[in-house]
Amino acid sequence: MTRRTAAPPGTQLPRWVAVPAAVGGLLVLLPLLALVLRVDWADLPALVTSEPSRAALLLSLRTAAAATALCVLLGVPMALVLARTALPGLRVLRALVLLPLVLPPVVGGIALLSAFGRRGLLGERLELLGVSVAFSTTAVVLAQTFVALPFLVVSLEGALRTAGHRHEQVAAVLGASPTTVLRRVTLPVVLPGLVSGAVLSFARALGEFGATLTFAGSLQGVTRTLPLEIYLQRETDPDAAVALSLLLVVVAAVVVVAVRGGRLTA
Amino acid sequence: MTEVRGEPRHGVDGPGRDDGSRGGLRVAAAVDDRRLDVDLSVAPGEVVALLGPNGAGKSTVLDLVAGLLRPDHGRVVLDGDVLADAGDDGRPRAWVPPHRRGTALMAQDPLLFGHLSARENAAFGPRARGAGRAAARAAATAWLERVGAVDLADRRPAQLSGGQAQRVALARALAAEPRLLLLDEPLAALDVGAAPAMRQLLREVLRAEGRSALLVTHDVLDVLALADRAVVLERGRVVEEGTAEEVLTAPRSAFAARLSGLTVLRGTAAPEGVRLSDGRSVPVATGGCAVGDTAVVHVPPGDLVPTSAGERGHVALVVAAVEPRGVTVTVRGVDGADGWPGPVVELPSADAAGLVPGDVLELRLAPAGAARATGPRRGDAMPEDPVGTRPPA
Repeated sequence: MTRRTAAPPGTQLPRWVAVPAAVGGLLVLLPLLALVLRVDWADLPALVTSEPSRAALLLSLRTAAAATALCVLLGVPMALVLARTALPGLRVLRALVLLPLVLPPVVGGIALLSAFGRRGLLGERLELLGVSVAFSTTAVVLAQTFVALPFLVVSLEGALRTAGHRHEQVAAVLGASPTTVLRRVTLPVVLPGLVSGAVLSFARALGEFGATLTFAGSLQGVTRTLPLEIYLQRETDPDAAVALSLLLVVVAAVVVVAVRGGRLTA
Repeated sequence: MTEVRGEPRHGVDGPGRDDGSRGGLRVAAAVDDRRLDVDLSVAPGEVVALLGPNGAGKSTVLDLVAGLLRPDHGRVVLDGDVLADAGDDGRPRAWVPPHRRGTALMAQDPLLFGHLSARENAAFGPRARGAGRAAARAAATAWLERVGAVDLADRRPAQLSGGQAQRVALARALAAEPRLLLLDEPLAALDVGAAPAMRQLLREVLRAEGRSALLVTHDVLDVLALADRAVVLERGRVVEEGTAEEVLTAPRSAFAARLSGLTVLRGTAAPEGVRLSDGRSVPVATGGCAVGDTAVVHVPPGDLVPTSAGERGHVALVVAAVEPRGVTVTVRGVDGADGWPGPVVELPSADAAGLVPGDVLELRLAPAGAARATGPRRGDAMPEDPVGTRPPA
């Protein structure tokens, strides 16, 4: 972390600002604290390592990793197109790409069903080929990619715009082909933005609930990820739900610290 | 022979200007939205300085040559290869992308790749052009040695001073073995301590090794030390070109006149000397100019002296600024209506005491001065002095 520096003279905030700021901080911290206080520490190891919990955690990690890889694979070219080309209608395209960011995840799930469901736009044809997407682990990954992709695109597009293209021009004039420029100059320069985007995407994929439940269902070991497991456990075993929640909080905290601590924010 | 749009500003195309078939660079191109329309060339082994005020289009010319900008009209030819052709006048359109042009660009900002060491930066060009890892590394080391930065080879750009970074940037540009080096104000960002050494280094690698280069600069010293020829751009047009010495000692454009620090008097050759637009005459030799021709007189600041009180001189100077320089002061006259710099005179401090802007100084040529009138050079686009249409005062 960087060392804090005092506010320069003449830029002091009015004191009352501290009050709403503190309220906001409490709003975030108090529920987390309450969660920790409710944890049944004695039974924690058993609750977290039960068969359904382990299956859900493993599935979550696997699908979130796959979704992150897919985000990088598709999101990097998308960010490059958005930041480095002057196609007509690019502003509209950018808005559409970012839509999942503001869309309720349930709506995203229904949209995915409309496309890839058994009666869906593409799903019907895939069905004829013997490929069934909906309610499979693939559907989980698709749902997570759908909601997480904008995080990577936004983060990387910002990094690309901040970096500018002067270095790329110099590299091209030095004899580097467009592919060489991308590989040896553009991507290394924006690597911090790419890493932070990927981490945010991973975190978003890990927490995905609504789109997954709608599009992939809740089948243990196949589509029941950790958030779904927590929601189900809450009905029958609130202590288990709390224990698993703590697990997700820890994973999320590690992710946030990794991004902020490395000062990798775009 | 190809004539690019517009009137032939530079007269008949002479030897060495035949579209680059004799080698070297020829840019005869226009870019509409930058209001640029130029025709200039760089002979093989020649260093040409591109001068002009901000926004005159100097960097745009470099972009055209480097392939970072497409011309709307005309073409760019390097060593006989058509790098870009807008396809007007019935020629085929052509476009060579930047990485296949064989140029290298070094700008005011060194623009080193921050994730690579100095050596890896210098090896970038050779690697990009297909050299093996070991060969590229050897070339990089050799060039770093040439620019005196081999001891910095393992450093990252963030660990280099401005002057060091610029040396590495030069090594990187030269290691790419460019057919033409493009230098965009390479010394402008260096502090006064680092600039002379870098200028000397550039002089060695450019002049001693016979490289072709196009050099954008604002600095008289760069022109004198580095350039064979100078081309002056104003508002997107070539307004003057000549040897570096001609442009600096006998300027024909407002920009070069200001750069030279000389008083530049424009008028017409007359039997008694050069008649100025305000009706005054300057008694100088007009050898080579026919009576009635446009003629220019260049006067060093020390060769003008005030007349005795009340006497009408050869030149009237309306004081714009008074700059103390030890025992003398430099007095600058207000600019002409067309942006040309006013007269400049150097006076003993005692004589200039009490001068304030707006005062009028009557000046005459010093008897021992060497001022001489000359006619226009090829390539001039010298505007008539706009007050010349007025009746003589």
